Amino acid sequence: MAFIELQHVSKRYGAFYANRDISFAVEQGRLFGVLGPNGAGKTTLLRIITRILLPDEGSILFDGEPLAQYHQCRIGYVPEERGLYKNLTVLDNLRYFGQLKGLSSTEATRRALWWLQRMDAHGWEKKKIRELSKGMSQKIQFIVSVLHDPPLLVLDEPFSGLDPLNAEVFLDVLAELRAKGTTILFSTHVMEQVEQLCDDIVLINRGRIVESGSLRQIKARYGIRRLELAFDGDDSFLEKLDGISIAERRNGSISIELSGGIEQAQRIIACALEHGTLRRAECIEPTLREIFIETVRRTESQEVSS
Amino acid sequence: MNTSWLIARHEFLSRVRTKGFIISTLLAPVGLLVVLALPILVSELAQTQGTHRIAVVDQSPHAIAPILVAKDSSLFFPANEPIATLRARVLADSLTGYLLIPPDGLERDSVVLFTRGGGGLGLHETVSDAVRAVFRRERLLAHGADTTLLRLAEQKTKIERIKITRERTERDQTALLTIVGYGMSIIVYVLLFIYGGIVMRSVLEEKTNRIVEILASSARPFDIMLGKVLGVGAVGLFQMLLWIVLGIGVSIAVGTTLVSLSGAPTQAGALAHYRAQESDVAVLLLQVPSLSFGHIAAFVFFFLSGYVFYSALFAGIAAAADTEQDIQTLQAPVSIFIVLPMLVIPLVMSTPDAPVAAILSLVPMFSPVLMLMRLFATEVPWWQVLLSVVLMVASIIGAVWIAGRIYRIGILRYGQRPTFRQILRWIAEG
Repeated sequence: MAFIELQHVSKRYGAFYANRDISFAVEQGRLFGVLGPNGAGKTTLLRIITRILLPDEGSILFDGEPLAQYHQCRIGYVPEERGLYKNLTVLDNLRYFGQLKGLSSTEATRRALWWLQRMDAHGWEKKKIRELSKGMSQKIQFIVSVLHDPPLLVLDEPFSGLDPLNAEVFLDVLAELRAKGTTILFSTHVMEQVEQLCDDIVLINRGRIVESGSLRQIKARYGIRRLELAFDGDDSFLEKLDGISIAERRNGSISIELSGGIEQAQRIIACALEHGTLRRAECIEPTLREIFIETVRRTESQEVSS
Repeated sequence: MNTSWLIARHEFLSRVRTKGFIISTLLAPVGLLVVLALPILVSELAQTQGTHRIAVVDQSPHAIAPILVAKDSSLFFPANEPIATLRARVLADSLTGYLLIPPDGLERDSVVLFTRGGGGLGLHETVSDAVRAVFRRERLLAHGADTTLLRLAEQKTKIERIKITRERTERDQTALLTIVGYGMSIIVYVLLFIYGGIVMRSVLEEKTNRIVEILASSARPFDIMLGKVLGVGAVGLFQMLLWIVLGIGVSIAVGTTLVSLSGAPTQAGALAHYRAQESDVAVLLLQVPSLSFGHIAAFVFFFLSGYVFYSALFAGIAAAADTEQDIQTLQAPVSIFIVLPMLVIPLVMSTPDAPVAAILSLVPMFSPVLMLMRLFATEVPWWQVLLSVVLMVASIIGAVWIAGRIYRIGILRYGQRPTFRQILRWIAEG
């Protein structure tokens, strides 16, 4: 069952649509990526899901119910820009934000200390936020979002500015939370992380959804785009084939752009076997980066032409 | 509502624990005393005329010059140079001026003061007060008055004022209460700016630090704003409570010291006696005012309602702003309403029952200062008090509603400062 579901959600600022007719569903326990170029409307969308903003049109279902104020204490949120009281200690910050999510003071303290330990931040509780480095305060910000053990975690660009070591800690924790059944929704434009992490994605551009589905489905939809051969012999047969272009040719290794998908790849492989020795053949799926760039460019040109 | 309470409590506790709070609580009364005492101090300093020197040229046969010099030797001295030299010294600024007592000066009751002009009203007043006192005395003596008569002539008539009400007859404290009321109004005026400013700065800080986004992911913007306003207001009340306790403590301590020093029955009596000749206003200030419960309740009500009214609007303004400069621009239309009553307060003080004073004091933006002033200065008809309270409560609700709408949209907007027209649209569309 969908844990969170958006139906025709739109958000307008004057005449400008930050989000336009957005519909998608996030299954429980999935890692869901919201992708899009800068200014696409990702942050607005996450703010609507966390009920910081109310949509102008459309509706949102949270665990089957229309999203309401009282759901906020079941949502954890890490905003893009870190927001903590600089003059207060780590523990005071965590306790206060924990209490706002409905925890008692003692419970918030207990969980804060546990999480500090878990995030390799043991012993920071008495430090003031202003004394922390950027990466350190990012950890605290993350703890704020998970302190009340929310079934839905919403992260806006969670990995920007993290060093590889800290990023590893974050990824571990996210994997743990997902294994426990937490639904995690995050925005990013770092494509490599999406491929590594996400189950499902939506790609938005200029406030609209331009692509959505599971990572597998989307890749399958874009099909095989490239064939790489390691070939010994006369490769002039390639010139006679229609609908291909040779992207790279070096030391007997050839990279071919396809237009006819897997069938075309199979025909080329058959030809290659006739004309020489085929040491290696590989059909390459498009990377998410390529899909992203292509889709964004396509929708932009569609908008220009319409 | 529950989150408002949490936010208010957090605001209260995190502020009360700071060094700044403790220091300001201790220093503010000192500052207030300085502000109140400064005009008196300055005027007394001015009266001594420190650097002013006036030579007395006595051409009369009555030897008035020595008496005048004896009366104020820091100002007057007997001239023993010719008038031409005195004139040159005045022009060279080594002398303020010279006073010429003509041969028939006492008989004609007139003297001439030569100066380079200027010197302010203070100098003129000091000279004429001294000359008139001496001349009156000398003329009375010349006409055969004895010392008893002189003392009688110099006495000031005391006017005891009794106020009659239906229930009882009591000492009329109008003068004293008016001054106390004036002090209270100034305190309210200053506190509106101080605590309004605290709310404003803290809203802006939360906005620029993006903390507000975390808050908004846990509570409704309206509740966040309300919690902040109430929390900071509680800090204000708490600080006042500390001041009252501090004041009582200090006055008990000072009172016992004075009693033990002078044997006088009360500190007020002792001080009043000591300063009797100096200034009536000073005496009034040093007396312990007998404030009724009603006066204190009025002060608390008008402070709190003014605070909530203005600080809510300030919170809205800060939410719409991005920088301190934005705040300066945006707050002007609100701040002007805090300042305006201070311009008409002299009028309300002198004629608290005039229709114009009554009408102005009923305007909700002005009530915290002007109605409070009137409640001390006169007997305000009950229906006006009630009307004022009703209007005040209604406008608080209005102000909080308007501010809530600006706040909700403003806190997540960054970039350009909105125009007043845009803010009006935020209010209209919400």
